[in-house]
Amino acid sequence: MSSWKKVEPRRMHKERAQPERRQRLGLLEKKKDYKLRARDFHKKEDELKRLREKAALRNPDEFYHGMISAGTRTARRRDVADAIPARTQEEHALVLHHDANYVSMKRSVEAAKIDRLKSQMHFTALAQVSGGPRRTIFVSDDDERSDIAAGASHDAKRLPGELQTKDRSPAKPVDPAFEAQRLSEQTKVYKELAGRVEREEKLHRLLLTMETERNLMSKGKRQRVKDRDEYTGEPAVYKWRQKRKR
Amino acid sequence: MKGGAKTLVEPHRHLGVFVARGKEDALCTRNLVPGESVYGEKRISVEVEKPDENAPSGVLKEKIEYRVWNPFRSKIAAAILGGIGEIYMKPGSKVLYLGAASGTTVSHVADLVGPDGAVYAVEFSHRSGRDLVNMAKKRPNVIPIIEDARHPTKYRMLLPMVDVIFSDVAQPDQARIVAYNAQFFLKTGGAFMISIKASCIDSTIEPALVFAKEVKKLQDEKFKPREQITLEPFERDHAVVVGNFRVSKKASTQ
Ligand SMILES: C[S@@+](CC[C@H](N)C(=O)[O-])C[C@H]1O[C@@H](n2cnc3c(N)ncnc32)[C@H](O)[C@@H]1O
Repeated sequence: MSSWKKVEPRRMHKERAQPERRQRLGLLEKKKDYKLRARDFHKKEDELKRLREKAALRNPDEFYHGMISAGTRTARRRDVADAIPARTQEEHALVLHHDANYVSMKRSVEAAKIDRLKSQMHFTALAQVSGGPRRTIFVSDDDERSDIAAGASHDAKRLPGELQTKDRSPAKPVDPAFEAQRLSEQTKVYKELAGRVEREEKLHRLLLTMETERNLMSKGKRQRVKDRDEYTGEPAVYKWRQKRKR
Repeated sequence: MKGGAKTLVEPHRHLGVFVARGKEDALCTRNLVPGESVYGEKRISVEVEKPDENAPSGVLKEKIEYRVWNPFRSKIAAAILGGIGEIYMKPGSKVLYLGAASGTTVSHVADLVGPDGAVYAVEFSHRSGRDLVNMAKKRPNVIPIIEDARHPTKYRMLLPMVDVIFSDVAQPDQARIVAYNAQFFLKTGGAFMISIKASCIDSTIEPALVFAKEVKKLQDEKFKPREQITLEPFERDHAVVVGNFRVSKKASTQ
């Protein structure tokens, strides 16, 4: 009976997420997102078509008021520029100042969190990964058979940084469940740490950019001595010409 | 017990050093003064069961407290995590520590050598020395010495012969300072561990070259460097060198 179907529990359908390896493409697009995007695209397409037609059918002899009222000033149409209420220099500087304060506050919050995380996440497996610290072992001619040479090969077998197990009374069997949970928890925290470090760096660069922008509002002749670094995002560097003070 | 909050503390390859595993992934030492932190570091306490006839259940529950040893603040911790082969300090050792600053690392070395060992901590700045002295009040195995490490004669009366000299004075003539102290206080065949900050010694040449030059200086002073390790990613352009002092050829081939 069809009415019984409503009573029996149905499966919960979860929304599919973007697969890990396509993560760079952003969120996974769903039908409803596609519809919005397609509608917007067609609206723009129609508008462009309409404007093209209008331009094609334009009468070149017709008079428009814009022909005499609009002009250009510093490569911008004046009528457009005038429409935006202008901020004074001081107002603009003030806004920049507030923004910079906010960013710098956020950055110090981030730095404090990084410090806290770093104080308890020590990469204890560091010695086992390649590209870690560089170890140099000095062996001189008079000790080919020496303890250190032995120690070195011993170490190589034992892996540096490894836990000592030999004088722990019967090596406790590791609980695989605990081990798995520990790993997943640690991975989460290390990921958080990496994310915060990246964010802190971004905020730092943003702050530098804002500072440069603010400096550029000041008077005086200056020259760009270094372009903005597109790769690292570091702002351009300017040098102001010395002005003699009286 | 909550699953997520459980932390396991296991002994590290180096005696007296431990690793806490759980949500943290941290190096630590057993706190000599349970219940107190020295510089705001985190403490981890675990309960262990010890067999005991007198207890009704046959086991006695004991609480052990560890202090997290931050490698970003201590070069010895950074070297241990980097996988240094030998630190020479172990429970019961006597250590002369040059350049103790406020005693953050000294407190961990004191935990490491335990109540049977001793740390003689030399620091010449009175300002840092104050914190050091305060820390030492709670740890009977720390002997603070507020003197210049360049003049070991001034504290000669306070020191016995030691097993290990550690130095982190960040001075260009560090090798000489260590050698001078070793002549007075280091046992024959004793060990040294020094931390080298490349920029403190010569900022105009490659760090690797600075380290090599320092190792050469040490060799000229009857030291026998065994191993050098750089401290990335905890410190940039830093290295720790360990080795022995006045090893006779015979002793070294045994
Ligand atoms: C890099 S800090 C040591 C930090 C400390 N080892 C730690 O890990 O917590 C160097 C210290 O050595 C001290 N120092 C420098 N030259 C010294 C000297 N000649 N005698 C004693 N202490 C010295 C400085 O005052 C400074 O506090």
